[in-house]
Amino acid sequence: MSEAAMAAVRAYLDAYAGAATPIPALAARGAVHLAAAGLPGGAPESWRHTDPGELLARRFAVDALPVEVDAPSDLPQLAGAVRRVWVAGQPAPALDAAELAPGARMWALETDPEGVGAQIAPERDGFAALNALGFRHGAGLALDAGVVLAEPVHLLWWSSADQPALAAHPRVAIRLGAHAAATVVVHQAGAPEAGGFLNSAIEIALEAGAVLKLLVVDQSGAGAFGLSQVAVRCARDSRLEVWLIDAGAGWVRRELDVALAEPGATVNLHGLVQGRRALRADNEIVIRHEAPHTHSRQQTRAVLEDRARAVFGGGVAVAAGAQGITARQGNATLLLSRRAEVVTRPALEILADDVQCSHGASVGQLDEAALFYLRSRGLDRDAARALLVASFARAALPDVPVAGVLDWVFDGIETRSPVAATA
Amino acid sequence: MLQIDDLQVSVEDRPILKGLSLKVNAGEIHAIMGPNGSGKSTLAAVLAGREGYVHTGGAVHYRGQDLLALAPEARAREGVFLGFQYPVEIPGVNNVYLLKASLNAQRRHRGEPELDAFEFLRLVREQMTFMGIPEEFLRRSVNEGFSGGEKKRNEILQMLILQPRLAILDEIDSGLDIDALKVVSRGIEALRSPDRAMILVTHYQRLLDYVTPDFVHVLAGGRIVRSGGKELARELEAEGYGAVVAGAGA
Repeated sequence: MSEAAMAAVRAYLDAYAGAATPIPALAARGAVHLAAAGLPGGAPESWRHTDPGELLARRFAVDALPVEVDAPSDLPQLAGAVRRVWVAGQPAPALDAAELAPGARMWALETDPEGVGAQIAPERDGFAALNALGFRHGAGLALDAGVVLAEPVHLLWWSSADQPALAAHPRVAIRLGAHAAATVVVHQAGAPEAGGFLNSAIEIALEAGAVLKLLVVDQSGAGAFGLSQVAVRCARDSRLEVWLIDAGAGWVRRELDVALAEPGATVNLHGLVQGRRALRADNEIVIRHEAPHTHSRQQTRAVLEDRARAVFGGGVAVAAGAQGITARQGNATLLLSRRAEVVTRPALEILADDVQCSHGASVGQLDEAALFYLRSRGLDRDAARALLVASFARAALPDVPVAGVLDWVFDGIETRSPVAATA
Repeated sequence: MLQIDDLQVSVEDRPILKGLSLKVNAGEIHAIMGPNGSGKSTLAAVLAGREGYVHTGGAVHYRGQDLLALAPEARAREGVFLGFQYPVEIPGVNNVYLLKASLNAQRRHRGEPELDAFEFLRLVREQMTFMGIPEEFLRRSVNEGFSGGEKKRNEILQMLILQPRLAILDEIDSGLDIDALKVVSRGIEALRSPDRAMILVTHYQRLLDYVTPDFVHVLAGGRIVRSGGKELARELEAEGYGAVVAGAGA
């Protein structure tokens, strides 16, 4: 462990020592593991292309000021969504909206933390340990068997510029009963000048036949650090649809670990890094095919301008005996600046023999032929360029179940037809 | 409408057009025919403003303006339309969106109000019916997954909606079966008008069975080596480019 990392570990241990915590046993395990493993304290390979140095050098406040209850006018909203909001890591019930349908339950996770840590244990790595130590507030969502939520659930962590740069360690637990279905937007956003460190742990369990549409969206400001660990277990014939969207300006690292634990389980993942300014986004994805006849697809894209940098770690692990699986992954990147950079790192570990796995990556610039085609139809160069970039990016996010999310990401650049939009 | 004088153009230091002259008046349809590599597609690309073509001599005037000084989008807004030999697939950009953006760019340029969605869709549907294009087309991306014939129909649809003053159709007939050729030809004929001119660049005489040109030019070695009426196309068909070009002394 580097000296900076040791200093960071000491600072966090001191800051959280003796503080009241909703799950003392979990916090204690976190403290022990953080001290022992240090930061980042995970698989070194997965950190090879992302330097945690800047994050470790920063010191964050750990106690939030009282939350202002006025709705910030720039708070991103989704029409019709059931919304829960945390400002600087603290619940902001005044900003919440709507209640869930019968058969679905949402609660403050800290009040009923049963099962927390089962999928993301403090011993996973240093940041999981830190989360266990610093966890104060979070969200639980449970659907009974067969319950289908019509409205999306929008979980928003908002960073306000009024707060000092804070560290917060939220947790989310989502459990869908057999054949239940929900759409959940896990959203980190903030005022452009807001900083801070959100170190989240998200545990998700899908029972047989359940369907979860999960959108993980980061729109944090330039001073923000976001690290999230997401663990999903998919039972028989359940389906996880994921959209990972990075459209902020800060430092983002996401570790998504999906276990396709029983036959018929499927994950379909889409990702977009919309990189501007100095965005650094690292998506480390591991799909575990633990059972036969499980299926995964990962299609990620990046559009990188300015000095943006994207890392895609696409891991597929096929267990011995997991026959008849399919695993596909692909990445396409549009590099629009000489200073932008992308790293794609597929990692396949296959211990079964009857499998279909594929991966591919491409990096390119704007298609000059397409640019000329659009200009020959009267669109000026800038408009044509913006249209091509937006259409490349949009294609990374097909079938998004909550249209409002696309409006956040694409700044109103329209590529759809007036017919499709109103149909 | 269009006056080309002694035009010389190179691609990667290789001269392609070597002194091409052509005058096109409003109301006329000109066919430019020639063997492969004669410079036909280069001429079309240069007129529309594609990059990578170096203008080394001569001049092109369009309605009194120096055409080559205009950006491609400015040419389009002034009423120049290029129908592509190979229309580009643009995944994610909706067909109708492009049509609307194109039309409104021209209307803004002419100081006319943009069409509202309702008026615009009425116009598009009318022309789609005329071109035998199915409704589903409205929701598809520009040329994505289109067959060769669908792409060419789409070019003609764009032309019908944009109503250019000068249309340059680059091998619009290539890759079309006879039914598609008839539909495309009907679209071209529908635009024939006293204040519009068209240049049909083609390798084959086939298109000219359906669209009757006023003038036929033979392009060979980067120059127009023979010009004539529609009967010249028949002669080419009967005798081949070799004989006609040799007879012209090129």
